Amino acid sequence: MISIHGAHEVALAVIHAVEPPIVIFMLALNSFYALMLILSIPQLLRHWRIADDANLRLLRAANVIPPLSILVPAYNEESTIVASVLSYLSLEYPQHEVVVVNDGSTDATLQRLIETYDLVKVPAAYPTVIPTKPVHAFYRSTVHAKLVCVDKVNGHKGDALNAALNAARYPYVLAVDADTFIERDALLRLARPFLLGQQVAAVGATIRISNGSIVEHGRVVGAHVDSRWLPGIQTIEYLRAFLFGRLGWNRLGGGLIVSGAFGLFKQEHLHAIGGYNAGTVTEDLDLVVRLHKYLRAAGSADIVTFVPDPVAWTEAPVTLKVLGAQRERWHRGLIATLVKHKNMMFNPRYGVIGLVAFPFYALGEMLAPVVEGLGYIVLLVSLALGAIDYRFAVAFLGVSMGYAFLLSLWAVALEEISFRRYSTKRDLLKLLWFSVIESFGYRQLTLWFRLCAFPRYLRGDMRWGVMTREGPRAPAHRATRTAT
Amino acid sequence: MINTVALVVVGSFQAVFIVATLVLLIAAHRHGRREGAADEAAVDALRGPVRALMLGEDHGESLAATLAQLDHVVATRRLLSIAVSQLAPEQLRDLAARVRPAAWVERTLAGGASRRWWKRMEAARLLAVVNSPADLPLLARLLTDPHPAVASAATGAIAGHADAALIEAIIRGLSEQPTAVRLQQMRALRTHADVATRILVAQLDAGGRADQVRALVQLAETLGTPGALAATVPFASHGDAEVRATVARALRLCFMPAGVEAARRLLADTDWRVRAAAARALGGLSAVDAIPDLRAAMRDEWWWVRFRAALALGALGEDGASALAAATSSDDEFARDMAVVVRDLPESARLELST
Repeated sequence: MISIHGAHEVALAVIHAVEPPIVIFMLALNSFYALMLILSIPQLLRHWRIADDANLRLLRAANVIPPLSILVPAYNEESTIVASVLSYLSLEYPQHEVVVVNDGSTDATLQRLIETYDLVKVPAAYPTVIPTKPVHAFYRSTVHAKLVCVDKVNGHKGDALNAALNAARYPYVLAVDADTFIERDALLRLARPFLLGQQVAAVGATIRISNGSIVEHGRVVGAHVDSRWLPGIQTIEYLRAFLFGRLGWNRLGGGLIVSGAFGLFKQEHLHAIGGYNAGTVTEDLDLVVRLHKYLRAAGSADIVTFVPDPVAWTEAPVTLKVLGAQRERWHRGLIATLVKHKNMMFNPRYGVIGLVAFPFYALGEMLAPVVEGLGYIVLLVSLALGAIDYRFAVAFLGVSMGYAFLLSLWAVALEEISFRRYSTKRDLLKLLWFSVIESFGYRQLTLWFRLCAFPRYLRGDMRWGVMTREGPRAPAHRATRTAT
Repeated sequence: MINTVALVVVGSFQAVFIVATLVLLIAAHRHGRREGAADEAAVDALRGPVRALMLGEDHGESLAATLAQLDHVVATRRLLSIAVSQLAPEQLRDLAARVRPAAWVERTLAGGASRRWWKRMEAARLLAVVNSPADLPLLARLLTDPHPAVASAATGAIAGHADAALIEAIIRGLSEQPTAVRLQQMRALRTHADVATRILVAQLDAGGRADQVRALVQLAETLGTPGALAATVPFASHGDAEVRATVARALRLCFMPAGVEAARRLLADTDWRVRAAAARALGGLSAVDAIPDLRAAMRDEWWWVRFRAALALGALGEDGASALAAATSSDDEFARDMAVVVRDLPESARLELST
């Protein structure tokens, strides 16, 4: 029988053993984020200098950028599909088409499209390169030559995107979510790597949170930060992720994520890797990892890059239930992808991807909630057992939160220096406020959501869950202001 | 082990950085507002002079005088904005002549020699609006600038200079340019189609590396002049498949017997991309004599060749339509299926897919 004193001693020994790795992990992770921040600044300035309208006008007028197909997987989107498609059709770009895939919707998504755009059934004028669930019919619009529609049996997002890939006729494809609002000139901005002479396999762009902004005809006409804490903090998270996370990786050449809500790909590469993996819950991450593998194997010089100024707006979860489901799914997809491609880890054959990006995503992203959760437990137990001084605990928490706040603050500063989408003082103050409060509750909640992904992954659960949205905020002259 | 004191030190540094970032943030916010206000003030100040020029009340004197009072960066930005959106070409010429001697223009153009690419880009943009024969050396340098954004911006100035030496230098450098810049420069050369065609034909006659020939054939397609297109025909038998594919694409505009003959030969090429482009060219050239070749191409092993051949048949009037209808009962399953697909396409879709 171990005495109470003995148990106390064992607990102290365990605490002393795990404490240093946790502290070192925290410092290393935050230092890496700081490195990303430093690397992102010259990248951001480079794009900012070239991002103005004059260059876009040259690209548009000269008709020199490759045509592209916009792939729109749609499942039960009857309330938004007509406006979304119209906004995609009217994007500024010399030559593009919109391929909508009705992925076995149980509502009137297809009917709305048929009625609004006068769709007529036509034979499938394309070769089936990637196998998908059976296609019922192929439609073309008689009023918009750029619009085609594929109606198929439900097979989830990856399968719908594969059906769209089969039907796409242009050399580049842009995958979007049916509820994403793309800025009118975003495609022209996205084409900047072509102007810069880069050979691209994929181009990622910025996703921003539309909650709190004013949306008219499928376009964000007034960018604002939501006053509610949940979407407000997510606005900060997205700024951090896109303004210096992706740009930092861009500099290192190790970007693993091109958002599924707004990402451009070279079609021949997607065909070569068999398109999207329909059996994963984060098809975008899986796709980019396989793309990197393929590019290395094929000896291709094409790169995966990121451009910060093309913007697509998406609605963030406004309830903890939906946020929890989303973050749990993202983390489950991350675990599944990293495990599936574990042979890339520390593998010099994959260059920066194998030696830096994969270890970072495995240790810094996948295991971060485990280590951080352990850190909270150790801290509380240590305090309870009197193993550490409360001043040390406060200092430790303060430094952790200070790092998080500093990174958020830099994201806000970079936004203010460069693209300045949120122009009012009120929005700026909201961003600062949400940067401060993120560490008090929100961070711990998302940590819990991500921890929940581990048991579900181990059970082999690859279900998507349900994402509910509240819809965009209309201009004041059309509708009353929503509760923001 | 890390102790409280170490954490307090780290925390103190953090606090300093946080305060510094906040100061930077506030400064950036204020600077942004000031810059926006300056821009708005410039727009207000220029509204009257722009209106006077547009209505023919003056020849840009007041606008040039107002621009001269602005900071050179703001003046450059405002002039570029006015030039592309509000003025007719002759008004722009008047204005350009008036502002060219201004100190702010000299200052911006001096950036053309800067080590900073964005300064060279601003100079190149301004050259596209304001230029004189004396600016030719600067323009020639900026057109071949190593930074594609600079070369792209300078492209706008090509239209203003019908200088044979400059055009020859541009054509010689085409194969070295990134694709988008190359295409921009090719399109800009359309404004000097005669001179460009003469130089192009001479360069095609001289031959060159496959990438150079490909760029020249692309230029011939872009110019679309009979002389340039005729000069591409001999390259239909080039050893490089990409050159042959580029020629096959260009041939769809080459309405002459030699062009049709070359396209018919390319329909039997070993590379499927060449065959597909040749089928498209034959449709575009209304080559009714090629109907038997196109019917044969509908049995091709490649989907895209069959598709292009079927579309071409669909574009060849009644004879083509009959051939397409006959193919719907072909003994070749692939030809039959493709003929049905194209036959059932709406006319608008057929037209769009044929282009």
